[in-house]
Amino acid sequence: MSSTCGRKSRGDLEVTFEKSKSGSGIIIELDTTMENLYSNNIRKEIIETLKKLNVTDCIIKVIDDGALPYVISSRVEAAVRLNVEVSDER
Amino acid sequence: MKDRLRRSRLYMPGNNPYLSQNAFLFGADCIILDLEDSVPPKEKFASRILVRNILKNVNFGPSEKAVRINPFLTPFGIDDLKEIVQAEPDLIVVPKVESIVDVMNVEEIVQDQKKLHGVTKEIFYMCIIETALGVLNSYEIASSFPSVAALVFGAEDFTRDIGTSRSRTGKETFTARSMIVMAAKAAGIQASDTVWSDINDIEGLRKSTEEGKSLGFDGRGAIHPSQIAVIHDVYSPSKEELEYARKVINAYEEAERSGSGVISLGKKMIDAPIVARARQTLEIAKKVGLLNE
Repeated sequence: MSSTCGRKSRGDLEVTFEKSKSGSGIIIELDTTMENLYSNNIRKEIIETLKKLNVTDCIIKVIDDGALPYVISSRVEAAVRLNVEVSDER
Repeated sequence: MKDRLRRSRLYMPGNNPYLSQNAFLFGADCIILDLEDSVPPKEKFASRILVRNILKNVNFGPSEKAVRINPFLTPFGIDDLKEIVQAEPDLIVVPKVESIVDVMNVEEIVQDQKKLHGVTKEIFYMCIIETALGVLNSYEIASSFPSVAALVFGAEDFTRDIGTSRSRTGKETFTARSMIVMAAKAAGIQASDTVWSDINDIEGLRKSTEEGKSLGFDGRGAIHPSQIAVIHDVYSPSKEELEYARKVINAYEEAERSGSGVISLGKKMIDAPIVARARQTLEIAKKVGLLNE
């Protein structure tokens, strides 16, 4: 089951998060308008946020349109926590 | 600061990071990241996390940083506070306040969250009065807690509540606005007027703002940055007001020096309220940069 947060609009990003099997690691599918300049930084921000949330195994799809680091971490955190909340409700 | 200058409060949607990243450039006295009306229910969850991080990461410059939470009647209000108090906003804007109980509910959670996250900063409340019951209880609300810094009038919901609609003259809200001003002033806090909804009607905005100022309001809401200049213009002392205030204070000081019990300016007697009003005008002029300290 996946959860999606954020928007495909300027200065924002859409994050779709899905848990995966233990041991499968973090898979990031990144589509960004800042590919050449900032894709490494965006990946780093995503990984750091996942680490803080103790997420080790997931598939995370990101469509970014120039979001600042705190926006990236906000949307990733929201998608992860929403996923946990929805799973708990089930 | 509880009584800081709040001529304008600009609402920014809490689900749009792009708009808020340079919000301080608009020059509003207070910037409100809105989690209530401008955020659809399915975006509430993600938006309060975003707002928390905007508060932590964005430089608001001299603008006061505020958040409008959702009402406690909805499932969102408590969750909003649990997310944002740790990010230390200056002000929390509480909608649909109808009684002291509504403020107590906010106060309880804010204090719990402050303790939980080790927040020592004082966080103030701006209570939006937008129902008939809220208007009738406005003094009780204004004087409920030292953290209540201002009462705000919300015209859209109020007119719906009393079964009418907003007109250009605003006569249907006159009594409520006056009662809110009186309640706020009696409690020693600020009163802030409702927003002007038509962003293309700048003349209407000016007229309505002048009327609000004459009723005793200290500022008003803005839904678009283009409204700020007019609001600031109206709520800042004019040249004439400044000149008159200076003359009053000079006359007062001269009378004190000479030991005269009677203070006059030209043919007009000056009494204590006029002196107090002149001091207030000069104080506002200092705050808005029209006078040096």
